[in-house]
Amino acid sequence: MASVALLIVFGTRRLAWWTASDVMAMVAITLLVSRPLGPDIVLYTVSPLLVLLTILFRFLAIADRNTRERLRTSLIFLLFLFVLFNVLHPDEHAHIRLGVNTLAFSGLSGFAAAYILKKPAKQRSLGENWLAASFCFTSLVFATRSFVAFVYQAEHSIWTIGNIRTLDTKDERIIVFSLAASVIVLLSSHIGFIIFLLQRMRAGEVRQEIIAAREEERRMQAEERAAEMFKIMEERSLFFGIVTHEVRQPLNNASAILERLREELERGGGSNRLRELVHETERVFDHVTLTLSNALVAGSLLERRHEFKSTSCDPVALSELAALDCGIKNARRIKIENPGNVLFITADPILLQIALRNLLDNALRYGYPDTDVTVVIKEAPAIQGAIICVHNRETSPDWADGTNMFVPKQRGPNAKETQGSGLGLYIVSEIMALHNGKVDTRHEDGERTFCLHLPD
Amino acid sequence: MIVILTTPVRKEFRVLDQVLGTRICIIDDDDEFGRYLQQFFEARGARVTLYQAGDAFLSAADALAYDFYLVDLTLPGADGVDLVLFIRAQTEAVIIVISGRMGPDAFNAALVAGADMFINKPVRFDQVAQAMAAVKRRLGTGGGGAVRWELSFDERILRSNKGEAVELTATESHLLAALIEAGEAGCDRMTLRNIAASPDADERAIDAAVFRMRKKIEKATGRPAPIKTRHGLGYHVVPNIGLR
Repeated sequence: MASVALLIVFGTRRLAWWTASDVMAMVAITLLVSRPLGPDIVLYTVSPLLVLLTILFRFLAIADRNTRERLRTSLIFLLFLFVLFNVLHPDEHAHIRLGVNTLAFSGLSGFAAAYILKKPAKQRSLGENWLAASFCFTSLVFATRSFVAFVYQAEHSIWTIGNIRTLDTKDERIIVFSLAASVIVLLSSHIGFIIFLLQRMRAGEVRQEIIAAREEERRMQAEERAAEMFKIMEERSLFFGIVTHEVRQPLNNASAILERLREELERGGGSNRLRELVHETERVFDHVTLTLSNALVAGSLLERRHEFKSTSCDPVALSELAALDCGIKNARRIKIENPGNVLFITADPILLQIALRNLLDNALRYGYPDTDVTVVIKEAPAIQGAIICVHNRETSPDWADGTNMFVPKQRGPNAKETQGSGLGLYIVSEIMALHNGKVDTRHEDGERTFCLHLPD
Repeated sequence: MIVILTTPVRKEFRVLDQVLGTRICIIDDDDEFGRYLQQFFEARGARVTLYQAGDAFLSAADALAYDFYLVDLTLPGADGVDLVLFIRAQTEAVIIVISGRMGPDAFNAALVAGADMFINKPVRFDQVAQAMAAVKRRLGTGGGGAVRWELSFDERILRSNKGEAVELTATESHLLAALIEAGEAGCDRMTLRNIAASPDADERAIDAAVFRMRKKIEKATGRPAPIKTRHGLGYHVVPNIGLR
């Protein structure tokens, strides 16, 4: 009843096996007194199969799933042999049958005890130790009974069916002892199993607590890391804000002074050498400005992915500004072709100007000296936007497929004598990615073309 | 027809023609940059006034008497965006913001406030002149600043408060009317397909129809069309458009 109650409450597989074992035991004990042979003769028999099943089911209740799976075939085979033996064995040598049966019971109980005891002592729970002791006691009892059956009852054939007679005091003591032992074994194993089960449940709870504690620790570590990352991002934003304004502003002023100086020189003051020096200085400033802009964009790409904004832009105006970014002398080499009507695209004007500036800088740097760089702007209905292409004459057959150009720090085969960080084309490709667009390149008949595809 | 523009240097003479006699207001707290930019335009015949703080500009009697405003965003006193709002509310002059800030918030705030263009420092003087020329080229005779649109559904004409008008086809006026009525929520392509009475048409047909309409508006007015794409969803219109 207790097993059935526990089974209803917890519903575990182990409890199911144990309850089945109790049912077998109950049926076996009930059948113990069910064969009266006459007014003075009672045949006390116990169904050996039920006893075997009682012990077997108890073993299955404590074994883990893998063991059950592994031994399933063997146990079924042994059961079959056991039943066959009992059916075929002749009744006139019942003591042998009794001896073999009780030996089987003893062996199975011993096997169950050994299964529990193979676990190291420090890892065994109280319930497991109790069950092991219970199985050992059961094994010993049945072993003794087997010995008695083989040795003692071979001489006294009182257990043959044919000549059962009224039991004398000695037989009564044997029966009472057997019954008492059975009850003790059943009860103790029951208690042991309950303790075993409760300790497993408690161990499960403890494991859950340990897992929960570990997860809590991991969560706190993740929160600390997130807080650190947030602080790093804040510091980085502050750094970029300072560089963007506090560094670029003096550059702007220096550029303004140089521009003023150049104008004064072009109006007739100063020597050619001085004018040349001013041009060179302006060229260096242009290079510093481009490098700084590229570095600021490269360092803020992650932030821009989350905060990307766009507006309607005039690509012709942006191309003109980008051309002037390259310096007065270089700007003379840049021709801009527009579609002849006002065209708007949706873009971040600052980033797009930087992208165009990088392409123009590339074209001027790697193209043939004193050749024109052409910017062609046209509508692209297929992408609901526009395509801006930069063409220049150059010989760069090694770059013909263009596949490695847009990787950071990648320099061209003609780049040995020129300065550069290898960041320009990478910045262009990242800016296009932010715009859900793309940049591609081709080299045909001595002309290199880069095209920006800007969807709406 | 493809028009091949002249090089920026040769364009400078064009700019000279455009700035000659024009009145330019520079609002920038950077003394060196402001002064040299002023000298650059004065050397080309423009009349230039430099203010180094927003408050000084606002208290000037002729603050709204200029053709071009070149405004820095980072100013002592009044914020640059507030100045743009103030100027735009009262004039149709061209406003160009010149700022060292690179973040998307900078240009977005300036353009939403009514600036016609945003250029990033460090900047050359001829780039500033180029930007002024580009805006003037785009706007033509119309002034700068915020545009209000109105669709006359019965006449199938889209008008701006700058005097421009665009004739639309029946399908285009239906599509635009649906977008105006949907407002900020916009319309998805399936809805537009049904409105265009082309339920069997695929999405590309709707995209092509909207694209054609936008280009028609831009070519006719020199301004961005009041229709925007909402990625993955469809289209919506800008807030300053109405239906009659």
